[in-house]
Amino acid sequence: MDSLPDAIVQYILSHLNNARDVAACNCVSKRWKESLPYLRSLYFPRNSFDSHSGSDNPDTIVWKMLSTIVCLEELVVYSPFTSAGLALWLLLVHSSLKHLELRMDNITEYQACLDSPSKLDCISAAKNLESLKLWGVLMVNPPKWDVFKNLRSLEIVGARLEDPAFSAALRACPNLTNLVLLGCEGVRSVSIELPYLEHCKLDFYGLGNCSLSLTCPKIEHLEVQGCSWIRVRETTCLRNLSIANNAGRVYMVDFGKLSALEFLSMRGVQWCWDAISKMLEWSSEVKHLYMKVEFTGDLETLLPFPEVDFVEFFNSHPKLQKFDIHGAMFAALCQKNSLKNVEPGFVIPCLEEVVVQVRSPLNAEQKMSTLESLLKYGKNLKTMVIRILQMKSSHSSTDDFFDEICRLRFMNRKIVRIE
Amino acid sequence: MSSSNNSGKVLKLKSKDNQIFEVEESVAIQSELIKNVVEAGCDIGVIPLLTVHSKTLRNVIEWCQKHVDYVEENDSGSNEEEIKNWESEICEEGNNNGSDDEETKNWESEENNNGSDEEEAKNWESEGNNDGSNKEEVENWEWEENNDGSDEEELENWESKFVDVDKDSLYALLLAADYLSIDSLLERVIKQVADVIKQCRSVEEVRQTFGIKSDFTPEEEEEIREEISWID
Repeated sequence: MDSLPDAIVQYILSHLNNARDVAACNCVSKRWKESLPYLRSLYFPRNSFDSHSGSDNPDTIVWKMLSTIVCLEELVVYSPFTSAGLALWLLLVHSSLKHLELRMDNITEYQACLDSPSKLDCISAAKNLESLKLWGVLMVNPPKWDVFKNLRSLEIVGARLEDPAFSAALRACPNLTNLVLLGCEGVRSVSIELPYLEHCKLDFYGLGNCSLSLTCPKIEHLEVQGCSWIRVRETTCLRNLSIANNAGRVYMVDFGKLSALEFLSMRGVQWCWDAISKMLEWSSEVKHLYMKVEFTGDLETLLPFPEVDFVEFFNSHPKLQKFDIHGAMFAALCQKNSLKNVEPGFVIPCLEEVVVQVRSPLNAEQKMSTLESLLKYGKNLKTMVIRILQMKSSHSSTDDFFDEICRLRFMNRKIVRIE
Repeated sequence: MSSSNNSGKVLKLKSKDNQIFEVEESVAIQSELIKNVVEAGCDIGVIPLLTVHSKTLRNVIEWCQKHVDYVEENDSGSNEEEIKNWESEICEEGNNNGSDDEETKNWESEENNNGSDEEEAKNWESEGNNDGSNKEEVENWEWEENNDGSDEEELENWESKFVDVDKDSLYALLLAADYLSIDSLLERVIKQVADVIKQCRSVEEVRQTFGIKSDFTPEEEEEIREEISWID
């Protein structure tokens, strides 16, 4: 080890980032101690100070370590800290710090927001941040943030937000390209206007009745959970769209023409039919469609889907390569007249993979016919997976249906698989 | 080997203990040091590597060979440096417009084939340094379209095994990689050393593993220990 040049020792030690390892290396030898100031990243795990009983408090220990590092770029602190501590740390590292990740853990600390300045406010000192990730945040008052000019990525996991506070936070991050909010409560209505946003993932807890308005012309990837009203007008770049609502009903969607859309996922207990049919209409270029909506209906009553014409559906989605048919969609494709309009020359050109979930033996003949049609017209079909769930097997028709499916599989062994 | 172009050129490298190693130029110039010597046009017979022992040099050559082969298998158009290396070996005749063409020509010169996929694969198999993993690579290569991920994974696994050696060998590799300026090897060994440090659970263990003696005075040591008492 002695024969290694200083630069290499520094480079080796710069790969360490766990604060425990770094602290230990400080004690190994003088040379190692002197090589540690060149660390780029420092991480304090959750339990860093659990067994600590020394004279310094954790805030001070962190401060002392930060004070030895010349140009820290990334700081991750999962262990508990105070806003006063955070303020002092950022005073040391604010000019070089690019990435900050903190476990705020103050969702339940209502009195914490009376502490002035709050932990959230203190973050403002890190003016050059490029990415910020916060866990367990209470944002009921607008954070006192100046503009984070370089902030590209904002991620909040586990939060209680109030709409005006959240809007204020977004206004301080005009150059975001990535926004992730997971497990967030308290939001009712969100309006996001970020000119550079490309990737957005929103997961709202609660009654599933949030409304979302997104004006982000560069958006490429959007995932939304928990909204009932969604408006995204400029969508020429949108390639990947996922809308889910486990708790509430999706009743209004408003997108432009989704000309670049390659992947669409629609999930939820209940969607208004208008919303479903519009989504299907706009996504005519889609390559992979995942549908798992259980019911439709505009009001409280849960209704099955109306009929979806098989031929019309596949003609209007000519690029479809992969189709996951769960929920009520399969039954809709299996209505009496669905296969009435099969013209000669009808094909499903691009379809390669189908996953179908079959739940009941009702309308078995039509269902078999639909499955057979998929095989017949899907010239490029490589795999068909039939998932059979929870069929009440007391009825003889169930057994007959199952036999039929097995026969289908037997005759198309290379393609069909049952799960 | 056909000598219609320079790509089959073989260099002679001499280790510290005076062993001569014959290495294809394409493999040897993974070392920036050797590459500079070649590009400077020095027509010396043997390149002396005064600080590298033969045992280490053998391993280093294996590393370089592996990485050259990996690039070829993956037809890596994005690896500009590799392409440039290939370009510098081919003489002016022939078209230099596509990396595929150039790589094909290199194979041609070495094994007299016409560059079809299967034949390149067979060449791989017929080369001397084969252990079981090569066969796997050939199979991966034939399924190339779908398998970019697993090729990379395979290389990573190979690299991890390569650096899983005792401390002294690791140091030797580190010093050789630094001297010869082989970035890929240097990075991987450094990462390995860092991983070993991370696995040590105390200051003593680190010192023991790396054979380091503390140069702190007892007072200094006590002060530092007090400061880092929280880690226990």
